[in-house]
Amino acid sequence: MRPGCKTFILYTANLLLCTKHYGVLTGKHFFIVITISLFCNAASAQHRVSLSARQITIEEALRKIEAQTGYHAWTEDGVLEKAHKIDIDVNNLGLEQVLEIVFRNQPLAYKVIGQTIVVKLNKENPALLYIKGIVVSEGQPVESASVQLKGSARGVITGTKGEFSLARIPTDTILIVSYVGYQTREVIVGDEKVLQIELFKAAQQLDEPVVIGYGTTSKRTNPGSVGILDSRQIGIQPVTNPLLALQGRIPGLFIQQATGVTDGEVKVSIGGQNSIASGNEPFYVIDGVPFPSATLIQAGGRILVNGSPLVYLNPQDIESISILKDADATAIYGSRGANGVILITTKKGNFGNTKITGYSVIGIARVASKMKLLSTPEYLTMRREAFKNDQTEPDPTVDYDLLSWDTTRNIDWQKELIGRTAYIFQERLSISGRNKQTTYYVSGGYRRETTVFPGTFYNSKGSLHASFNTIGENRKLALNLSVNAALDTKTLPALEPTAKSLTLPPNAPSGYNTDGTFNWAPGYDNPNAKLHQLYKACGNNLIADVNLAYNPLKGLKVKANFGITSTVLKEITPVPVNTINPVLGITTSSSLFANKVVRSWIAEPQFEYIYYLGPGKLTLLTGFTFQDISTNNDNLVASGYIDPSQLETTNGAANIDILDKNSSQYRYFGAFTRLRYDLKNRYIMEVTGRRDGSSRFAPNRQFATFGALGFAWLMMEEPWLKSKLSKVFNFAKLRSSYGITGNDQIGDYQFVDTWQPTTYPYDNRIGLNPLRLYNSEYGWESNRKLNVGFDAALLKNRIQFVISYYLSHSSNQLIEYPLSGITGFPYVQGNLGVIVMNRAVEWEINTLNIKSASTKWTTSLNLTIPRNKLRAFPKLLGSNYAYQYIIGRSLNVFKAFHFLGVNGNTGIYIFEDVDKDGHISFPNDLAANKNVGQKFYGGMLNTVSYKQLSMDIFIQFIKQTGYNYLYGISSMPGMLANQPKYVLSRWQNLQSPGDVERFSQQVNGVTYTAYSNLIASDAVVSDASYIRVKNISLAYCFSGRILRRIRTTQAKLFLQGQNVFTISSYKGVDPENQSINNTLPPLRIYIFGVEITFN
Amino acid sequence: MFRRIVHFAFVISLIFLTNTSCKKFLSVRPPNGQLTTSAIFANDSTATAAILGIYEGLSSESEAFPSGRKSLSVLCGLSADELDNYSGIPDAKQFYFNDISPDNGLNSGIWDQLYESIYRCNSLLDGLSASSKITFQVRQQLSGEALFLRAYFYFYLINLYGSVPLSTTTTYQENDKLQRSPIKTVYNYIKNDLITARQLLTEEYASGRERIRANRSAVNALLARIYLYTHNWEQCITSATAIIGRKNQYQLCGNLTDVFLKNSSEAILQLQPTVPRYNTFDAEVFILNSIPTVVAFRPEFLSVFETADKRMTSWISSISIDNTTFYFPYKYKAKSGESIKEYLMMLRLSEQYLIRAEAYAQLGRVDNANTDINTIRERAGLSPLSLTSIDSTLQAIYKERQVELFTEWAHRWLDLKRTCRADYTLGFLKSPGWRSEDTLYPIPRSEITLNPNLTQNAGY
Repeated sequence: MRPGCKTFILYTANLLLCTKHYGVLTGKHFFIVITISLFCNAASAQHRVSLSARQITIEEALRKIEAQTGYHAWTEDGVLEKAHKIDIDVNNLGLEQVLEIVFRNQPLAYKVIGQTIVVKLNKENPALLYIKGIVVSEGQPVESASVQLKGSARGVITGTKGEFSLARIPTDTILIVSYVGYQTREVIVGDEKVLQIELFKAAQQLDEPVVIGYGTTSKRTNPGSVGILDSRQIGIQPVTNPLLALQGRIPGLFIQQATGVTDGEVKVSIGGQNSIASGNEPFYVIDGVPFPSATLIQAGGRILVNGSPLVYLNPQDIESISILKDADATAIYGSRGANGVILITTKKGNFGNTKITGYSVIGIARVASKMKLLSTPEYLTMRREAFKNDQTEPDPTVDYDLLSWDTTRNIDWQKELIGRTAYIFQERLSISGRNKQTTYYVSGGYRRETTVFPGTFYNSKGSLHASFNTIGENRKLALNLSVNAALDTKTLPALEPTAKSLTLPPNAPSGYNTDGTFNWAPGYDNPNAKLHQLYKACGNNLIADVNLAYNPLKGLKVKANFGITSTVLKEITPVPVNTINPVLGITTSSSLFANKVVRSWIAEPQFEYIYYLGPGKLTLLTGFTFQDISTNNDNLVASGYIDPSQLETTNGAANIDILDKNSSQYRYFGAFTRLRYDLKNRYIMEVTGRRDGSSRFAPNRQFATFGALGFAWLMMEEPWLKSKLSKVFNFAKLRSSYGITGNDQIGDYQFVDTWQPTTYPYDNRIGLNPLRLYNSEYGWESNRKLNVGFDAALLKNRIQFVISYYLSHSSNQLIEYPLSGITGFPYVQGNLGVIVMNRAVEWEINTLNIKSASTKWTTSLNLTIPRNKLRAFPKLLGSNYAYQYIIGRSLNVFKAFHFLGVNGNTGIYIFEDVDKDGHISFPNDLAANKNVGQKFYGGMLNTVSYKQLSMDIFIQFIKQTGYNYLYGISSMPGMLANQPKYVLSRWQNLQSPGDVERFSQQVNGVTYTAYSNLIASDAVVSDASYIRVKNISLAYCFSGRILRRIRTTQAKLFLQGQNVFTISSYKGVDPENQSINNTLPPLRIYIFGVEITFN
Repeated sequence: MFRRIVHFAFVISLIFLTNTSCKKFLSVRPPNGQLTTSAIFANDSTATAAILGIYEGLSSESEAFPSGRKSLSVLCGLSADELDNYSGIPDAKQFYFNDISPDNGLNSGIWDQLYESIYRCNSLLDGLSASSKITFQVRQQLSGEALFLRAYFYFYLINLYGSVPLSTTTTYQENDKLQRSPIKTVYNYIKNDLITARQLLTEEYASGRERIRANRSAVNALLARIYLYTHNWEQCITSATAIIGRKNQYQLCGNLTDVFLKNSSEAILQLQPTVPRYNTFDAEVFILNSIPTVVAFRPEFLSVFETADKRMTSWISSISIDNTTFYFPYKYKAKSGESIKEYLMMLRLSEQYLIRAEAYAQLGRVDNANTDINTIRERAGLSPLSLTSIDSTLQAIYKERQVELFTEWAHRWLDLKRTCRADYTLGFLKSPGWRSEDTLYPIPRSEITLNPNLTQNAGY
């Protein structure tokens, strides 16, 4: 371009561009333009341009246009630096149109003058902005928040300091700012170019954070099926095992308290029974550390069986519990996810002021349900009638109850043995606060409770929880540390007296003689002496986790999680000689000692990357797991003690025999990844995969791959639906997932072809024999899960509901595969083609019934209808399960003789003679008319608050069949043992037939044979449905005026009750733990306490 | 930048996934108190322990096929004409009445235990062949013993059940689907094994002075028996003579009461009792102190004995309760609580005399046969025979076997079957229940359920 020409054009251009609307030209200028146009003799519209490029500068774009059209571009110096890169893809388009595209949204203006394209800074039009901003909450930056342009796919992720920048933003743009756990905000970009956007903690349930495997999400956008219970609902339940707090609250999660003894067994199943022979336990993760939840109890007698070490976690220290149910949520745990995953997150400090909270509780607990037993007159009637029926007389060497004991004595042994009141004391102090970049939360708790048994028994526990979260000065490095430690010590009776309390005759003598010694009256199994055989245990538990995160680049996080767990339990069960009936002739004391140590460590390096890719947001997580669990246990019996005072050491023992001494090691390696793509906040897709290796399998079978696909469609984000339904629906989501998870709960070393020493020496040397077949072939059990759900919120979020359907097929089951004897062994652990199907429909409805300034009432209701079916079982007839299962029926099927009633003529029980051979025999007469399991279950929570008063009532309901009292009691009515009142409706004669067999006390009669058949019949199974007011919590928070007077920030008085009231027609002690082993029924607990917070 | 990160993640992933250290990470220490196969066959001592394990397994069980109430001596004695049943157990009655159900637990017990023992031999042989760390002599010795024991077990399997599956490996996937092999095939297999074992083993007992581990003579003794059963008379004579000729090592006990003592001069192979304070379980089950609850002799059985037969007084005893006299086998005299005096006899010399006598008779060498029979008769205090016809010699041998080898390892039952006298002898005695098919026990039903390739014996 010639200089002279340039000057001229510049002048003209200035004239043109300085006009406010350069399309409107004044006469003088118009003239000049016309002149130039004519002079140049060209029509720009005739020039056509093809241009395709990504992220090119304006300068480059203009060069290409110049090359194609022969036009020249003219710019003022430095102007183009202000421009942003562009993406362009045009084909054979007119020059004007192309320029329109090139300069769209640029802070530049252009004009074609002759064959020159004049480009100048658009001073008059501030429409295109380059904005910067930070996202904060409570004064702290929010990292990885999403800032998106409304109506566009453009968006960015905030950096470590909450900062973000967006270029080429037209004015009046709306930004959508969102982050898990916070209310999504829409911000209008005005003139200000530096924005500070404040996010507020989610008030809506839908946006509350939901902890999932290796991350968090929100209910709103999660394509998976996750149940969650928050600290409030955990905290108001006076339970010691956090699992009990979940009872009835989460659809699809079934929890059964097997005993009322604190720290006893709690059975948990997520999504039904998947595995026949391997474990059905969910996978527990506490603050990112997998927790070996298997029981440590070895010598717990019958009082503590299968108690989980999870009781070492103080429920008050828990922030939330997530229950991961479907494949989308669990596949990231791969081989360990088949039975669901329970994630427990403990409390952490926040950026509020330093707070000290004290919590102090006293409470009582009593057995909630008892069985109505025969009184002495009724009992004696039964016994005498039995002798009359048997046409014999009582034997003075056997029938002491009739001939030597006081027949006027009438004792309620349930009251004597399990009828005491247990007292509960609980203290807790927590401190939380912050210090620049650090937040902390420290709490210590102590709990001591006594038992309902007569004697000085107690169970006490101290716990410590600490959490530190710190962020580096430049906010690139973050460190989280969490520690949960607990110590416990308990002294309990070694044997549970519940069974005894149900069977001791009501006229049995007192346990003590007048001089305080034990009463060893003949024929009397002294329960008080048994209660002096103690079970003493002390244990400790440590779970520690360090989580490091480093942000080298915006959107990228490199994380590492290191955790350890250590659980130790020492048990002593002393048996002093004075507690043993002297007629047995034992003259020395003995004691059982057991120690168990479980240690584990885990290391998990991870990478997380968030990026706006194409039209949506991509979140990528990938990581690796290395885990090791070592178990050591020994169990020995020391006997021959002369001095009973030495029973708690092995020193005074004459003999020490090792019952069991074992150590085992388990190692696990996995690589996992989760890819989430979020398109316009409307379509969310998740792909999860995991490759797992476990030492429980032979070297060529150690690795397996699991994965899942999840999809969510947030329907109300669709404009066409929103316009129609937004008056009713605030939110609607359709979600679905499908995937494969695995199960390796088969025990260690099962594949190894180990040899074990022979019992005795041969030729003076110990020999060796193969312990099991060499089996390198078996691999993972796998579980294919399909989940479909619909979540919605309507009427201004006042009603929220969730409907889910899941279907799972558990296959490749590891069971004892029956082999022909030719192989040398009857079974081999193998992946038999057993297929177990579980499906369920789950409902969850939350409603906000009343909300006013002073009153709030919410209800939430959940219901689960589970079904279970054995789809395939090759070689069932040859297996151990031949008499237990039926293909095509539920695993809950109860195969037994079919009870038909009492024969009106003989007074003897009758059963269905399936094979018509004239007598009832195993296995030919087994029938399958009943199931033992749940038809449906659920719960309803009502929370009402009025001014400072709040009340929560939780009702649990279950429709099920279960074992009734006949399952546990093995004495025939008429024998020397008490019976429930039900037996009074017995057959007496033809005129009064009754529904209970005629009384008899003979062991070798037809009556006894029929009775033996009865307890092997389906009569032991009956309805065990119940509705139970599981929890009532009343709290009063003091108002500000009183608080100021007592110089506190918060003060609360509360009264909580557990297992308050039950409606059931169950025939037995308690429909929840049923009569299994006649354990103590769940206790009714009331606690009263105060919680005070100081700033 | 995105590409860089993907690249980075990919490289890291590759490092983790391709690295063999992942596999290494998953190798864990073995459980306490148990050894893996590779460890067993890493040295002579543990490999030897593996063969001792087989013997211990035969000896320790109070209720297994070698001795005790579930032994071949008891159950086959019931099936034959030796013993009367006094047990209330239905399964035992079925043996007595030759009406054994395929569901019979005692029957499947024999089957399972024999195959379990065979598995142990197979795993020992597999382990030895896979290992290079065992010294030559030990390898020879252990292989020889394992081959011998396996042959011993198969001998009983084919004689009780007819053709049976021939399992020679530890691979359960194959064993689980095996078909029955013809009797001849199994015999050939075990003959070959024994011939190999004869080369591997020496005349020395690995157990030193104790005759409780198989040596070359034990192999010869079993070979002689198998040649007898397969009518290979010449070989039979050779094998038996190889033992009988070793007069320094093996001699008939002059006194009948010494025969079953531990390390008796007549013993070729004995099982050492292992359970502390227990002698043989045969003594436990046979010796009566009160009314029999398991078995006692059939009174008719005693009529076979000649009046002068010292075996009648030395090896049989009786108890009288309420004017009823019960006779019982008294070969083993030491019950529990006594010091260990007696070992359970597996192979003994007098059987070899009788085997050789029968082979001679079959070949028409009646004089040689007479000599051998008379050696046994003489020891029992009986006058010598001088028979002339083959047939009468054979009959005399059969009778001699009946009174010499009674209630030992099912000899009577197997003799009746192999000499085709079962129908004649038992058909009358056990009428009307007896059928010719009863000579073979049924294959346990569960075996056929689990392995469809198996077929049931005729008549079941």
